Amino acid sequence: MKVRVKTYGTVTPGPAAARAGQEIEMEIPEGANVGDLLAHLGISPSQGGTVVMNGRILSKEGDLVDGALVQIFQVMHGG
Amino acid sequence: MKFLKVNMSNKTIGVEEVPQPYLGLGGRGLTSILINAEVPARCDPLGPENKLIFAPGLLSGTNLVNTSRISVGAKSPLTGTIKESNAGGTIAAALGRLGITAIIVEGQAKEGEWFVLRIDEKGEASLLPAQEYRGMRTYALTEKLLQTYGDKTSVMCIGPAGENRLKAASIQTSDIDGRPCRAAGRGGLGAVMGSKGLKALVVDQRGNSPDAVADPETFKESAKAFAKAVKDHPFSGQLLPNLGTAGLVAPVNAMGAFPSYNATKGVMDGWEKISGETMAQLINERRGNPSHMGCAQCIVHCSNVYNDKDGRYLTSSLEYETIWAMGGMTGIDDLDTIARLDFLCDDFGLDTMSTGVAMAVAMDAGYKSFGDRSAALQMMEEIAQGTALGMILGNGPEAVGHHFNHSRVPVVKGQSIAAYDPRAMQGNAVTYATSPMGADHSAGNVIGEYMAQKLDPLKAEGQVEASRNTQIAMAAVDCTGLCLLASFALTTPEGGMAFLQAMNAKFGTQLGPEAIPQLGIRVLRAEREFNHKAGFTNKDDRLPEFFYKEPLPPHNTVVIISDQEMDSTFNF
Repeated sequence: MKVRVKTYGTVTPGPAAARAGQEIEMEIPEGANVGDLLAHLGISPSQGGTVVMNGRILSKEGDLVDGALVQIFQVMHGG
Repeated sequence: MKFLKVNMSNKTIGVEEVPQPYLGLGGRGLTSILINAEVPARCDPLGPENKLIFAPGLLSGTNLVNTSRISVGAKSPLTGTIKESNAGGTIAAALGRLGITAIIVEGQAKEGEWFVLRIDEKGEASLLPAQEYRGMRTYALTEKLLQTYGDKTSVMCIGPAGENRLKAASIQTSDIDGRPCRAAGRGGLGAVMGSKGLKALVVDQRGNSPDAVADPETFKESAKAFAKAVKDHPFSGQLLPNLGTAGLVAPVNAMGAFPSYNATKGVMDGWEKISGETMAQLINERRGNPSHMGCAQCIVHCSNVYNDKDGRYLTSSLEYETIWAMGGMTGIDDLDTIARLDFLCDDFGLDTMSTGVAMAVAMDAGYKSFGDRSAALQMMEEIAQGTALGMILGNGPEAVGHHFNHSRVPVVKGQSIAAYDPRAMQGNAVTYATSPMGADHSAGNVIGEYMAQKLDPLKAEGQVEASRNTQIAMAAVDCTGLCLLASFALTTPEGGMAFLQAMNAKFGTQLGPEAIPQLGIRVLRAEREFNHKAGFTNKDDRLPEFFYKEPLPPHNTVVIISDQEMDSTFNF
């Protein structure tokens, strides 16, 4: 299946993806979850621990939906 | 360890050793406990019985990084509650280096009389006539004061908004570069300063008579370890130096919690145009500075200098809450307009949050359209000109709601909410409703719990506890002078231990980790006690009705924390 991925802030994807801030479309295996995607992108939990899809934060075990936009952030605090 | 007591009625200045009940207190702890003990709770906030207190944090003026917050406290004319509003800049460190624990401003000058309180490098204070500065905006005033007293001077001042006693008036203070762009914005404390007849404080930064450090060697070591923890933390070490607080625009929109168009939607159309990522790119293209040092002792550099398209200074520092209030709430998706509004607020001496939300309420009431840039600038001009509508806008969102008979006014105890919609972040609903300060973004913001997946933002479960714990932690942090944005290093074992060691080395104490929440609880109790005496009850710890009834897209949720749960927040 395919997902669209966009990273924000200082989250920097590994060589498998384009530079931070650019939306990319990625082919991932059927049934891959959030943890699989982060591993594929080379993003460590401390670097980009917050994954949002359809307005909700997903856990590492969270399922991804074909065609969805997946937004990746690092954990932030209020300012 | 001394109090400077300034009586504006008879123009006397007294210096006294810090009395026993206030020993060991600084920042918000000192302002709140002193106000609770000495200010009649039902007094007129703009009358002579109110006291305006300036208190650097416990560690301000030391070599510990990011300890340059100053707390300003009084009874608030905006909320009618006790108030602490804190700011960065350089003045907290300057006062710390002079061993001044607090400046307590009492009484009231005669109508039309204005003064500057000057403190020289020896700590000698004098009240100087300031008629010539009357009506001056903060940038021109600060420039003039720095010319008069020298570059090594910290300024804390009000603009025309404070002189006019507007309820959204801020107290502005100078940053490292001598610009009055750091603000004690909330609660209308600029109006209290104006009511006293005090136009500005000027403090020499070259003082060399700080309170002694009990164990200098240990302090030095722990300060080094704490600095490392701040640098190593991904939020203070990576995100903030690159994007500043504006980095929050993207995730809060992604979570559907960015109150937009006067809190009728949780995602702003075109938010990418005003995101931290876009802002950093623009700043770089225009040769501004996206990683600016705004405050003394700062190693985070979350501040920025934002230039216009011709590379000329437009404002510093453009922050998340301002981008939200002037952008999200008004529907203005243009950073240049937001930056201009930010500058005008700083210059005129207004809280950007209350002012932006006041404009948004006017737009929602049909006075102007959302997204109308020139209407927003025109409303600022109305405030500056002191027209009738300008006075209403400058008195904040609640005054605007009354004027237009409009009920969607996102305030608690008269103060606007911040950039997190309580319907999409239920823990912040608890904080807005119950904080003794009225709705407040720094009193107990739970967003970190959501982003770290410790809590579901849309469910009621765990929200009261999260708000309680964060409110306690923030009340304690606000005593120390430590910047909120560096304080998340305290949550790491290394950072937490280093900070506690530094506190003990400074004061010669043997405090354990439990002392921090104990301090926070003590402060919150004093604040709640004052509010109770002022006539506030649990029934005031509620959000406006629309937050319980109008679902917020995209999640279409309302606030689901029951009154009973709200009332259990301070069960400690």
